[in-house]
Amino acid sequence: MTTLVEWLRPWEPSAPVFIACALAVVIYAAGMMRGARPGFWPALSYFAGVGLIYAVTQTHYDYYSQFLFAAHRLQHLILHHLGPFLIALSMPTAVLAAGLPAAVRRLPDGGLRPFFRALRVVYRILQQPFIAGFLFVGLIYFWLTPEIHFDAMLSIDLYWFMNWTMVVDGLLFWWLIFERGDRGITPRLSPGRRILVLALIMPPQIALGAYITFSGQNLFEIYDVCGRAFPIDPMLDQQIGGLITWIPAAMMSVAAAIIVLAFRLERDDEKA
Amino acid sequence: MTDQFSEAPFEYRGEPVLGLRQIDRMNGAAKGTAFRAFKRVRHALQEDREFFVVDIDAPGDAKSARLMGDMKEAGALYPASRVAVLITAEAYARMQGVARLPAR
Repeated sequence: MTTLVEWLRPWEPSAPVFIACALAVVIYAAGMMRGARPGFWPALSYFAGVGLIYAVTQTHYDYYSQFLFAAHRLQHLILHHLGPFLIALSMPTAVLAAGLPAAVRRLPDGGLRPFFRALRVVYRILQQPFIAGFLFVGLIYFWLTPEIHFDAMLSIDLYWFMNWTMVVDGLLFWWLIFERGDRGITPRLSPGRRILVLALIMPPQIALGAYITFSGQNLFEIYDVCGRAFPIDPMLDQQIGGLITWIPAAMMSVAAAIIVLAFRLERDDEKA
Repeated sequence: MTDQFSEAPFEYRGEPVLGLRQIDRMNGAAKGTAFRAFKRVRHALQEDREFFVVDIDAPGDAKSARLMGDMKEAGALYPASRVAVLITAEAYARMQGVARLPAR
């Protein structure tokens, strides 16, 4: 029991992360209670995505992320790939909109209209396929630049900034890939373009993962300062981290492409 | 440094200093607790005045090499560490402000 409590206790508590996850769950649940019917699988996908993001940031897992490169890579695989992937796959807009108080839903048409208009412009720019793909891969490279990684892991503020950028960028990217249903402000790409974007982001991730895996040099020295969470050869830790950056991350693109094709076939069936 | 929780400090550049492992041990805290506190206050600390960083395997001079040897022998360094962060009394006082660490 003590062990479970210890595992559930965050190593580095973050009020913004806790509040964001709690709001995500509460608003979605409120939407369901107000009549939105997302279906079992979308709801499961949404809660699993939010739950995974919470688990790797606000439990003792975060301790391992800070003291083991491989655990850090798994944390970012969830923050940037799997968690946002599951949330975007569930297309929760309608449920979340139903769950929001009416006053909040009216905000974009009220006094804050200029702000929301500017936000929409920024969003549309960030969701241009080339920019979205470049940002998605670029952020991974940026935070894995050894000097930047060192600073990010040594500063609590920068650490949380890094994690937030990964989640937000992950949500933007996977939202663009899985966007469907009623047209919103997200650019609607054809299935072919979505698959092309997914194909284009794979080689740079594979190259980076392979570079880390096969590098004969200890690239991320921050984990040597206090020592790793448990005795493990630094190079083995780095190799496992490299493999996580390489294989599952690239496989997410394949999985997403299959899902995009399945949506296309489903739509064709509905038309027929 | 005389109560039962205290650890004997080492001396570096004329300053009494503690390693992160000593601070964790002194507080009966999990590995990484002192490092976490250090990370929270690092922006306010001045390197080479309030804390020192020494490469364990390649210390800059003979004195540092001797100190690293002594610290290893005393179990004052985590075995997996390759870099020793040496905390002065001033830095420790700041770390106490962000974590429940006892007075030295």
